[in-house]
Amino acid sequence: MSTQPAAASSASLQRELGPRQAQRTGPRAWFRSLKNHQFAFAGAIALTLAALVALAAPLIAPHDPIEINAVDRLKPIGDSTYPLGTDRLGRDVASRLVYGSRISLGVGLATVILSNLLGITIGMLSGYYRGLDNALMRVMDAFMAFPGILLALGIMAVLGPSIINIVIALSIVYTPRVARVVRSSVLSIREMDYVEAARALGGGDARLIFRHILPNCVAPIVVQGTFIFAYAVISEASLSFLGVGASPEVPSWGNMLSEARQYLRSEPMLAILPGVAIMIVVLSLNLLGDGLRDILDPYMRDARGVE
Amino acid sequence: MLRYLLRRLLALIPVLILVSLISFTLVHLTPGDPVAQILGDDATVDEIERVRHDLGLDRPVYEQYLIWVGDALRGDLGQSIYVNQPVTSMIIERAEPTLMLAIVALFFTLIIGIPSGVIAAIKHNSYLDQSLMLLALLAVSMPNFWLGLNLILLFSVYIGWFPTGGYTPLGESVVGAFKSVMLPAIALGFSQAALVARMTRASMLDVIRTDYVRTARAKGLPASRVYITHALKNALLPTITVIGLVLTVLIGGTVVTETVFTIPGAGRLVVNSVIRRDYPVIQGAIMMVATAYVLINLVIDLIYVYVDPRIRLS
Amino acid sequence: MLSEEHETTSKVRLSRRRMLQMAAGAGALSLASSLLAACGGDDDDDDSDQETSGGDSTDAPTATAAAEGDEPEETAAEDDDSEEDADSGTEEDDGGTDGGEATGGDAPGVMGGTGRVALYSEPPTLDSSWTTAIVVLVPSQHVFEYLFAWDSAWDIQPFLVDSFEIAADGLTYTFQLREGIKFHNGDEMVADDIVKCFNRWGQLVGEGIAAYESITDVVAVDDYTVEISLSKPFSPLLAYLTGPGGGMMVMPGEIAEAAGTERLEEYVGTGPYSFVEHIPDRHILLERFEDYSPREEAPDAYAGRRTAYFEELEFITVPDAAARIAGVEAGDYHWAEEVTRDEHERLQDSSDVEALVIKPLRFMGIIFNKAQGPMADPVLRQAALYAFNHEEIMAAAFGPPDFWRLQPSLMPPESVWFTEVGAEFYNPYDPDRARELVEQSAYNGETVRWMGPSDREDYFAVALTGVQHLQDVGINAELVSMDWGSVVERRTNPEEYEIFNTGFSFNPEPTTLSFIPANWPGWWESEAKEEILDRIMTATDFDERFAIWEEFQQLYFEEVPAIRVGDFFGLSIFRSNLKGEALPVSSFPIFWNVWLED
Repeated sequence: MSTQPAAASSASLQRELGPRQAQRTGPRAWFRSLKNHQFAFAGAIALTLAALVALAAPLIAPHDPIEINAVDRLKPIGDSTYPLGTDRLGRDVASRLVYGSRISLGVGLATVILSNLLGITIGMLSGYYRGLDNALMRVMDAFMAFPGILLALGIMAVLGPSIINIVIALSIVYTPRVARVVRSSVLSIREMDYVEAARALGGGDARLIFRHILPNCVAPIVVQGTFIFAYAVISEASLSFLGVGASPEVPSWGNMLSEARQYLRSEPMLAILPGVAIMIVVLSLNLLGDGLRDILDPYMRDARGVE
Repeated sequence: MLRYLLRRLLALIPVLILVSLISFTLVHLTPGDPVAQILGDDATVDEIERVRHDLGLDRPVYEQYLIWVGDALRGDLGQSIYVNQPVTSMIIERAEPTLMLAIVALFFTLIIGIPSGVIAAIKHNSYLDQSLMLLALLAVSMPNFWLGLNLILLFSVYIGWFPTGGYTPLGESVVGAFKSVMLPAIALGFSQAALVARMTRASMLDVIRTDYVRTARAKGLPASRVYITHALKNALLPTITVIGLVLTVLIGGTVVTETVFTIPGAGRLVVNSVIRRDYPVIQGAIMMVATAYVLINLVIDLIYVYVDPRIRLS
Repeated sequence: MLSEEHETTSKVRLSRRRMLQMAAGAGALSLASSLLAACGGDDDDDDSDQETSGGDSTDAPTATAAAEGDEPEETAAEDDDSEEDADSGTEEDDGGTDGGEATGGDAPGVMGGTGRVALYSEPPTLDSSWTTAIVVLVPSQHVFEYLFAWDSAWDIQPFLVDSFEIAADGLTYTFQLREGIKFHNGDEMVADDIVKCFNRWGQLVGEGIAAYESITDVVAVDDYTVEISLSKPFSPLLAYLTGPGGGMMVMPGEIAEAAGTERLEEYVGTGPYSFVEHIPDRHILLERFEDYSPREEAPDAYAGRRTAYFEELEFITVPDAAARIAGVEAGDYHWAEEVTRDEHERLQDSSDVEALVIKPLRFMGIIFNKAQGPMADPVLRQAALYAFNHEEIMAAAFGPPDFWRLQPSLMPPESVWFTEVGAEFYNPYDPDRARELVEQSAYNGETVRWMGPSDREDYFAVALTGVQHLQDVGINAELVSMDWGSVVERRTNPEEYEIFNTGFSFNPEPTTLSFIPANWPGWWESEAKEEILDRIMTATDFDERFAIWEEFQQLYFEEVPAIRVGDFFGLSIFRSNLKGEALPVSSFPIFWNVWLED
C-alpha cells in the first residue's frame, strides 16, 4: 500500500465520502486510520487472534495442560500424541502454550484495568483538587522510587505466589504512572476555556470531570494502556523466572520459561516456544500502541502533513 | 538555581521517609522464616526458636522500625540475618559490579542507540530506517533474561569469548572486569538501546522538519553539516532526560540480569534476600536503591534545566 | 523492560511487501541464536542405556576418573612441598584401621593451582555445628576436622584421636589424642580444647544434646587424654562424634567457649585448608595449611591421609543449574553439584566433562500431621499408603530412572542396617484398596492441605503428583504452594497443614532419622516407638541393635507416620582433568587428595 501522509488520505476520504463522514475524531475515524496504519493493524490482528486462542483454549488444546504423565516426560516436537512435545513432568507443551495465553493476556488485561481504575481516580483527584495534589504525588513518587521489578517482588513475597497476586503487585507498580499521566492531562485541560465556561455555567465537579475532562484524557490512557499490558506480560515472565511469580503448576508462559531454563541445551524448544509467544504478544501490543499514539495524538496528526 | 536545588532536595525527604515505611511494612508483612533457610532441612523446633530469639526477631514491629531508622541515620544498616555480616559493607561490596554493569550497559545503549536513531532519521522511510525500527521493536518485546540465556549459550559456551557468569573485580583485572560484564550489559542494554534509538529518531525528525533546518538545507549547506552540527545538538536535548530514565530502568533491570549471569551485585542481593527473608538486607538495599533513583532523577532534572535555555530563562 | 515514560513518536509506514521482508529478517535474527544453540553441540539422541557410574547397591561408587586406578599416593620423601612430613610426630596407627598401603603407588599428583567449586546455594556460615545444611558442610569440612571420621564402608575410624578405649560397662570412654596437631592459628591441639568443644557440642548440636542426657562429665586427664563418663550406656556416642555429616568439630577451646551457642565468628580448625575470606554471593576462599599433620594410612573416604594439592580452594555460589553446567563446560569451575539430572546423557558424551551419579543422595519422605486434622487418623494414613504410585512420583520429581530407586528399607542398601522387613507394605499401589480404606476411616471430605515449596522444583513435583494421587482415591487434597522457608516455618504449626514432604540425608546411625522424635514436625507420638527407641539406644551389641531396628521398621509400616517414597541420587559434574577421588563415598565431595592435570 502507499505511504501517503494521513492528511492526504483524509483528503481522499473527504473526496469519496463527503465531509461529514471524514471526521477526524471519534471511534469510526480511528478505526479507519488504524486500517491505514499497517503495523498497528497487524498488531491488532495478532492480538485478536491471541485473544481468540485464549478464549477457545478448552476447545483447541489437545490435552489437559496440568496433568502429569511422568512416563511421557521430555518428548520432542513431532511426537504423535504430543505435537509440540512434553515438558519434564510429561505435560503437553502445546496445551500449556494455549492455556498460557489465557494467563498472559488475562494478567495483562487485569493489570491494565486495575491500575487504570486506581490511577485514574488518583490522577483526577490530584489534578483537580490542588489540596490533595501534593500529598498524593509524594506517595506516588515514593512508590515510583522503587525499581518496578523489586516492588513487585516484594509484594509477591508478602502475598504469595498466585496469578491474582501478580495482578495486584503489578497494578500497584503501574498505578503511579497512570496517575501521573492522568494528572498532567487534567492539569492541562482544566485551564482550557471550555472548562472555565462549563464551570461558569454552574456544572458540578463530578459532571465536569466526567463529561469534559475525562474524555480528553482517553488518548494517553489508551496508549499507555497498551504499554502497561505489554509490560505486565513480560513482568509475569520475569517474576516467574525469579521464582516468585505464579505457582509452579500453573501453565503460564513465564513458568514454562523458568522451568525450561535447565533444558536450554537438551530441549531448547521448551524455552524457545514460550519466549516466542511472549514476543509476539508484546510486539503486537507495542505496534498497536505506537499506531494508536500516532492516530490519537493531535500534535503529531497535524505535523504529519509537513512531510 | 540554587534555590531550585534546595527545594528539590527538601522535597526528597518525605519521599524517602515514605519509601522506608513502605519497604519496612512490606518486609515485615512477608511470611516465612529467615531462620529456616539458615538451619537446613532437618532443623529442630528448638534450634529455630533459639536462633530467632538470638536475632531479636521477636520484638514488636514498630520498635524494630524505630531502631532501624535510628541506626540508619548513623550509617549502620544492621546485620544480615543470613550471613552475619554488616549490611552496609555487604551493599558497598556489591556496588561495584552493579554500577559497572549499569554504566557499561548505558554506554552500549548510547553507542548503539543514538547513531541508529540519527541514521534512521536521516534516511527516513528507507529500507534501513524501517528495518532498524522493527529490530528496535523486537528488542523491546523480548524478555531480557531470555536474551541473556541465549547470549550465554552462544558466546560463553559455544564460542567461549566470555565467561558464563561471575564478576572479576576492577582491582584484579580491568580487562577481566569488562569481559565479565559485557554479555550481561548487552542483554540489559539491548532493549534500552532500542528505546533510545526510537527516541533519538523521533526528536531528530522533529528538528529536521523545523524551519531553520529546512532553511539551512535550502541555502545549500551539505546534509551532514546541517544534521550533525545543527540538528543533532537540539535533538539530543530530550535524549538527556531519557538517559536518566534509562539509567534508572537499567538499575532496576540489573535485578534479573545479575541472577541470570550470576553476578554478585546489589540487584541479586535484593532478590536473594527477599527469598531468604533477610529483613535487614532487604530494607537497607531498597533504601539505597531508592535513594540512588531519586538522586539520579534529580541530577538529570538539574542538567536538563541547566542545558535547556528555554527553561533556565523562564 | 519498557520505560513507559518515553513519549516517542515513530511513524513507520511501510508497504506490505517491505514489512513482510523485514519481519522475516528481523525475526530470524532473534531466533537465530536460539536455533544455533539448539542445532550446535553434540546432542546425541541415541537411547542406549547409560551405565550409571559406580557399581550397584552394595558398593560405594567411585568417581569415574578415580576408577582409572590413579592413586594419589606419595612417599613423603618424593614430595617437594614440606607439608607432608614436618614436625607431625604422628604415631603408628592402632588396630581398627585397615592398614594396608601407607605409601607407594603411582605418580604423585600435581601441586598448586586454585580449585574452583560451584555451590548451588549460598552458605550462610562455615559453622556446620550451628547448621546442618549441606552447602555449609562442603567448604567447612576442609577447615574443621573431627575426632573420628567415616571411611568408605561407613565405618568409624579414629582421626584426631590416636587410640581409644571403652570400658566394659560402657560408662567410660577414654580418648588418646594425636600429638603435635596444629590449629590454623599455630596453637597445638590439646585435651582442654576437646573438653571445651564437647561443652559447646552438648548445648548446640541435636546429637550432642541427646548424648548429654547420658554423659555426666568430660575431663582432660592430661594434655592428650580425654575421659568421658556416662550415667548409662549410650551406644551411638562414637557415631555421633564422627564426621563429616553430624559429628563434633574440633577447634581451639577459647573459640568454642567464646562462641557458645552462637555462630562462630572465626573459623580456626585443624584441616588441610585454612580459612581466608567469605564474601557472600562471591566466594569462600581457603588456602593450603602448610603445617598440616596428615594421618599416615592410605586415604579411605574421609579417613586416612589428606594431601592438599590445590594451593587455594574457591567455592562460588551459582544458584542456577544451567549456569553451573555451562560453567563447568566452559572451564570456569572444576566441580559442580546438583546438576539437572536430565543433562546426564548429554554430559556423558562430552569429552571435557565427566558426570558422576551420587548414590544414594537422600530419600524423599512424605510427612503427615499426626497431631490434629484428618491425617491424624491412622486408617486414612494407611489409605494414603495404598494411594501413592511411587514410580510416578519419583519419575516426576527426579527424572530418568537412573537417578532414583524404590526400595522398602528405611536405611539404604549401602548401609549395614538395610532390612526388608515389612516390604509388602512398601508401594503397594492399589487405588481400590485405598478407596476402601478411605470409606472405613473417619474421613468426611475435609480439605487435606499439602504444602509444596514453589522454589524447589523436585520437591514441588512430589507434592503436585502426590496431590493428584490422593484426589484419585477420593481424598480432597489441595496443593498449597509457598517458598521453602515458609514450608519450614509452617511445618512447626499443626494448624497450618496436613502433609508436607522433604528430603532426608543419609546418616549411618539409624536413630538420627529426623521424623522419629515426637517434637519434630509431624509429631509422631507413640509409646510403642519410645519403648523400642529406648532399647536400641542402650543396647551395645550390633546384632542386638539390628534386631530391634527391624522391630522399629515393622512399627513404621503399621503406624505410617510418614511414607518413605524412594531414594534419589544426584548428579555432579567435573572437569575431566580433575584427578583423584573427590567423591570416595556417595555423600559430599572433598577437595583434598584431588588435583588438576594438564
